[in-house]
Amino acid sequence: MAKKGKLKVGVFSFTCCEGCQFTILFLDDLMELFNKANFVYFDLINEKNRNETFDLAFVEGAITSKREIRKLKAIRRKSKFLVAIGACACHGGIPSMQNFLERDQLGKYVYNQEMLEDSVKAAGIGEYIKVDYYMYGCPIIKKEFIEFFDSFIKGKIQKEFEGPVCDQCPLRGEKCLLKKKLPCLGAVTRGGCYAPCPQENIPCYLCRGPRAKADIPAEVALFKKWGLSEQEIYNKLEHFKNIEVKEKVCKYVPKYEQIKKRKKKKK
Amino acid sequence: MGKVIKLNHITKIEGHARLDVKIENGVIKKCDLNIFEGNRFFEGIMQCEKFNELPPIGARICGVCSVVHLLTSTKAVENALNLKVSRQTELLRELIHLGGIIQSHVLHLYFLALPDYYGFDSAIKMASKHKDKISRALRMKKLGNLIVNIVGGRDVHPLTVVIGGISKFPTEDEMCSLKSELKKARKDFVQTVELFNSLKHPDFEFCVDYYALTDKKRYDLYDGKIHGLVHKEDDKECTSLCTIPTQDYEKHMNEFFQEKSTAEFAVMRGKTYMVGALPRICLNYEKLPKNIRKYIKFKLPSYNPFHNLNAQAIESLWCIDRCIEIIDKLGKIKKQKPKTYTVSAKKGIGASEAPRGILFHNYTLDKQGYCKKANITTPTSQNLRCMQESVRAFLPTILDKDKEEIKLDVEKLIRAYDPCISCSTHFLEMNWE
Repeated sequence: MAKKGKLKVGVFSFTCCEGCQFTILFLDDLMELFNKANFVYFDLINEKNRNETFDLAFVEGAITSKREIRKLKAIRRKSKFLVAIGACACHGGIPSMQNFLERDQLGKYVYNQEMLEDSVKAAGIGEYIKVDYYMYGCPIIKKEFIEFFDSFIKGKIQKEFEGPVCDQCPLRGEKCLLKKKLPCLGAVTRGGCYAPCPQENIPCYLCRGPRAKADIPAEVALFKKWGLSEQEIYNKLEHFKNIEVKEKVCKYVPKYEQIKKRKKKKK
Repeated sequence: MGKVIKLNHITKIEGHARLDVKIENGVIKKCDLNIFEGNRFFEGIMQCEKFNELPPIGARICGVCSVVHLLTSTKAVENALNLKVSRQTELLRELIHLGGIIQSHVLHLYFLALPDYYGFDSAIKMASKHKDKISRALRMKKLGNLIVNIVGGRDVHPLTVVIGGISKFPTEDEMCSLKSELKKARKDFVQTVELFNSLKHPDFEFCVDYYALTDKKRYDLYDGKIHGLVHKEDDKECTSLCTIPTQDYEKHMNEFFQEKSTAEFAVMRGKTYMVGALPRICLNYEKLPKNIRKYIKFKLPSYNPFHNLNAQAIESLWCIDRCIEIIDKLGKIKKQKPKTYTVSAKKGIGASEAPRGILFHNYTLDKQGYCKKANITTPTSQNLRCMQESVRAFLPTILDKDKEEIKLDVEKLIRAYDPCISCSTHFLEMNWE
């Protein structure tokens, strides 16, 4: 039953934990959300999903196979405005950690050979299609999602947050985790998340990816001064990273290549 | 005349799965459950990670059971470090665990399973005619989230669980308000049990072995030894009980690859088996408090997989009572620092009951604390074989129906198991033969 006048929205999922879809489902005012627009494609909760055109498409998950590339391109063709949600769709997230494994080793961890042959290097969706908006985080932040959605309905596109995580962090100043020598990466990470991790005494771990103006060498130097080993710093930076970190971050860890070699040897 | 049924994309389950069925002259020629979730190689990427980074990565195996993955992974690491956490930490973690179970059960019961029974395409469409039920579901979902939020810091991928303890403690006010919310919500959970008890399930039995974690004294989802309800020659009358220490699970469980299907299968002691809410209720019935037991309206042990829904509803109600009990036991929460530990080369195993059944995390650390080998066995990968075989057994009973009806019935059966495909496809190391 297509309701006239309402936006047609699709929610799509590729390789990931589906935590971002669940973040949407865990919204407190879920029914209000469903009243505001017509969710014509949401296969997690809909039996029949119509494959038509979408005014707004949310895509979660990383792209790991040729099959997924084909599906993604079809979604792009049908969507007027496409939003990448979550670390996996934005920059590869956890699934793209596999890019650091040796290709010939992968068969060891997989039982579906047909899919292995079809697989490609894991990447965010921006690698293959034009993305109109990036909503970062692992998982996405409810407040950010609602703010974006509500302003989209009114015809406005929310501006992406420019500052680091620290800008919204209530611990900023005396209570800063860095003062307790906890390796918090808030200063180099894209903000907009309202800093949920530092608030729970968990150092920021770069799930939203490094921001454009991030001073990573300074951060690495600081952790080194505290006595963290290069492998530890590398591990810290690597998690949600991958494609981005490989290019932007890891060059700041001088022995990165050596560490990688050791990693290969271990297997 | 042959019938080919292709459920190209089974909806309303977590992840991406497909079922191929071929029937010729009333004989089932093919019944394959295929998984087409993308590869993530979890066990591969976990190698060479430091022990304290393993739980946050492990949690990302699945968005809906992230809570349980995080806790089980933490338990496995602590087991490897020979670390015993304080009683308070254990209780707080159990509270998050139960919150996670409520989140998942409620979502599955109302949003994925119930619309089938009322002939609706989705819970959203159901909302116009059954507003009371959907608003109840939303209240229950909110409560599950609240528990995980208050203790865990976030409802998907909680934050506060760290090696050796908890990083931030809930305040007294928060615990007080949580307790009153729990008491208020109990009514909703009772109504849910009654609602699911009133549903008419297909009359179908599929007799397999049941396994669940069992505590000596009480009904428990957080920890325990593996108990099994085992049948001789698939005769449902001829049963015996067996106990397997959690640390020995690998000796009894085999995971293998079947050529005709792309999915990986697990067998316990050489046989297909089921894990989940129904096996838990069947095995631990006597440990359930009386005021919960009275809601079980089906004969135990039941081998009707559809009763898994009833079992989930009953379990959610139990979770509420247990949460209140935990809050009372906790009393005033002390701010404890996480326990300290020394790293040594050791293997660690963690097991707990995820919403869908027993979950194992198994890590081998080297002497610097880096993960040398990771092995994760999820409930859905244990249930896959059971799911496929039960569909095969179910089909002959519904063959006279038309294709659309058969499709729907089969989907209903698969959904009853509450499969979580994201979970089962982290890919285990397999043996080539």
